[in-house]
Amino acid sequence: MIDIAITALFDVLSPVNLLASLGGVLFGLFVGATPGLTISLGMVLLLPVTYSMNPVTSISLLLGLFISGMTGGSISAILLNIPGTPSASATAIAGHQMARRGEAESALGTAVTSSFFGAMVSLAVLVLVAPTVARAALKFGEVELGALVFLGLTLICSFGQKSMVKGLISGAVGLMITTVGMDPIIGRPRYTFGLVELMSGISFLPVMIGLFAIPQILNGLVMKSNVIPDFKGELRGVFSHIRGVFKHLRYKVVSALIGTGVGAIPGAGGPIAVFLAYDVARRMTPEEQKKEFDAGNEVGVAAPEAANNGINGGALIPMMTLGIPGDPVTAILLGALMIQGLTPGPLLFRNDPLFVYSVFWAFLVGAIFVLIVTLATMKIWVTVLQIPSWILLPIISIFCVIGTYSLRNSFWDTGVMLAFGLLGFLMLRFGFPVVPLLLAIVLGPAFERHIRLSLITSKGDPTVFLTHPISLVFIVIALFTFFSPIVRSLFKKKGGI
Amino acid sequence: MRKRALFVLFVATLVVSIGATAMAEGQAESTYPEKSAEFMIPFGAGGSADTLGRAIVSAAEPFFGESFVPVNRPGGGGAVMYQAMYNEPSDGYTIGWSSTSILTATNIGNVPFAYDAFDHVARVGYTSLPIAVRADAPWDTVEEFVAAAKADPGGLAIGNAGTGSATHLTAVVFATKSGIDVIHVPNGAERRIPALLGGETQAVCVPLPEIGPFVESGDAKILAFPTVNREPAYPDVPTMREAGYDVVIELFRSISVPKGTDPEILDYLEEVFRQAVQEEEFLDVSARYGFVIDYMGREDFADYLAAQDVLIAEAMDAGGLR
Repeated sequence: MIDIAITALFDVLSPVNLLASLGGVLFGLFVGATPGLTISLGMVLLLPVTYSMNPVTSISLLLGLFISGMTGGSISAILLNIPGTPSASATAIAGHQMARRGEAESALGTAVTSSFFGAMVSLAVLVLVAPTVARAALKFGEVELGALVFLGLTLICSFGQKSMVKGLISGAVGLMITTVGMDPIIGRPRYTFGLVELMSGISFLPVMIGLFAIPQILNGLVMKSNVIPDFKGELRGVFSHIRGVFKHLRYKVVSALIGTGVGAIPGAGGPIAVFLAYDVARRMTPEEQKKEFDAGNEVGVAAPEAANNGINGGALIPMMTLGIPGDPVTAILLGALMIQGLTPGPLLFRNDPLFVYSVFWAFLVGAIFVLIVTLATMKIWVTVLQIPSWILLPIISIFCVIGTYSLRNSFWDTGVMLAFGLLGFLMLRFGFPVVPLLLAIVLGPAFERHIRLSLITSKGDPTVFLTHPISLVFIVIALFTFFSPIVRSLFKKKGGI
Repeated sequence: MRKRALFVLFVATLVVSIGATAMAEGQAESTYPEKSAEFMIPFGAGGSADTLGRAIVSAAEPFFGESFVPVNRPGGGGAVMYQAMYNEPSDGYTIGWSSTSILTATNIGNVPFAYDAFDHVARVGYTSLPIAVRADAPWDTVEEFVAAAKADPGGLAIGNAGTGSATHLTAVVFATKSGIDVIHVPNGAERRIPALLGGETQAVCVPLPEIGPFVESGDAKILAFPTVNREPAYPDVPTMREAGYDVVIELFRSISVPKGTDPEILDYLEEVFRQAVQEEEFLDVSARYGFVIDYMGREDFADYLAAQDVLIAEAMDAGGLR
């Protein structure tokens, strides 16, 4: 065992593979940090390049991209309030508020070190207990997934803090939007008005880009408001950040485990993990620090960031042990491995342990590169804020158009992005939070699908959600999440006025 | 000033992008091919349809003489791509990587035309869609499974990739021909094997390459193949026909072009792909994906498509999908 691990280590550390990993990391930072370009797109672009590589070089390149893309997504979320990837959308909440206060560097540093921490926790889980976790994840049937997503949906209440009603309206609109497209169970079109483009529904990515990026662009260019925060002062240097890896330890551990766990469940979806982690971190925060948390502090950045890199290792668990991708990115990764003649699945650990160890080492090397590269280039990222907005914002809009066009090679999704951009702009003006809408669009399809499939297998008996223990736990937490703010606001009113 | 500069920039971007699209349209030509052709793939990047599609065009390029540009048009179980191809000119520069989905998407009525709204060049091969159960299940043969299902009507569940998909229709035809009443669960492609292993469903209809590793690892066993011939890798497992149920549905992959394409171009393409399927690199990729190369030229493929179309239509009626 040890000799295989050492052989694999030397293979991964060969110059070619290190170079591939570094290349993947740099490219991943670019696609992750650029609003509009996604990790999936980056992988698709690199895929043909990997055909002629050997398996370890190929996986070094792609894992580097996967890990750094997750971290890169937070950079634009923090600096510009435009999440570069879906899994960075929760980071924008606290991160951008910090940047607005001139704390861009702390926010970025926290994001990068938390990402590294999350990646390490998920790697440890992957190395030590992957087969066990994969078997346990099989216990998550449709019923349990349905309850988990239900719990995710109740988070809408937490993100509608300022006005519960507006938050709920925003969420409800999101849920209604998800009914457009092919019915997930009977396979017939709904509300598509005969348009074949609407058949696969309104996809999440153009909505996210539209909701976050377009209002920023409109506000900056048309309304002339100052959307790009300032950054002045000296940089703290790489080492002061690295010392922060273990700061806010308990929040990071919990969040990283949430990310790993959700990532390991096939079909649960990444964005649910980051919002869940953000919400759990808020609940873990002592009452007297809640104000700081809501105003955006390091914990609010650390939690979703530890979670989204937790997804990295988590999603690899079902991919490697069962041959089942946990998310769209691992689906592409799976394809890349199959091209190499490897069959991820129950036999991979038995037939090809050398490769399995190479994946572990490549993951570690990739995560270290991400940490070093992002911290060392901190100056560049902060300098982005010094670019005049009339140059920066048009560049971002070009990438948004390219990114949405590339989703399906059609301008349809670009149109969707613009429409939601306008919606987001109006929502912002009239004080409706956009996060509930986004959450609803991410979770709505999964919610409908899992609930309906549960009812098909239970022959229409809804009590399965209460008789399955895991599901019952989620439902109880969900009800608590839903009712606690209402109860609290009732008490406040009585006491306050 | 800045505003104007921005506007000019915006217009310039638009003009360039529209110009690029217009240039790709091209004009009438004398010798075919004289430029690259678009190769439309009806599913997303990274999946088996995508990988096999990219592999066949890369093997076909030397014979074609120009390059192919693979473009993924996923969505609607193939409907998005077929609709897009339907709107393209029949000049031989739009080629589709069609599959069984061309019969399912048209028969379920998601697009306003039938499979014969295209010219079909060739069938490249197929992937078989066996019915599998957990290894610890009490049934070792498809007959035993049928007997159990008859004893417990509506009690057993068979997972599939989605309503109206080839795996669903295969399970429906199997249930109809064997006279059993089962629940069809559209678990989806990424959930159907976890659902089987986790015990939510008792059986699954699934492409062989996905379930193969689980059979080898001792987690699952295959009851029967709905194919004409036995699967080379599983010589002991019978076909559905051998077991007494007349079920033959294959997940085929093929080459199609917009209707009205010049017969000379069709001949040319048929020859290009006939040669491509014999290329070493394509054979390698096919073997990895459990894709059985079984080439059919235009005429054979037309007969095959007509027969499969009837079968799919019957299955949809039986499943109450039309």
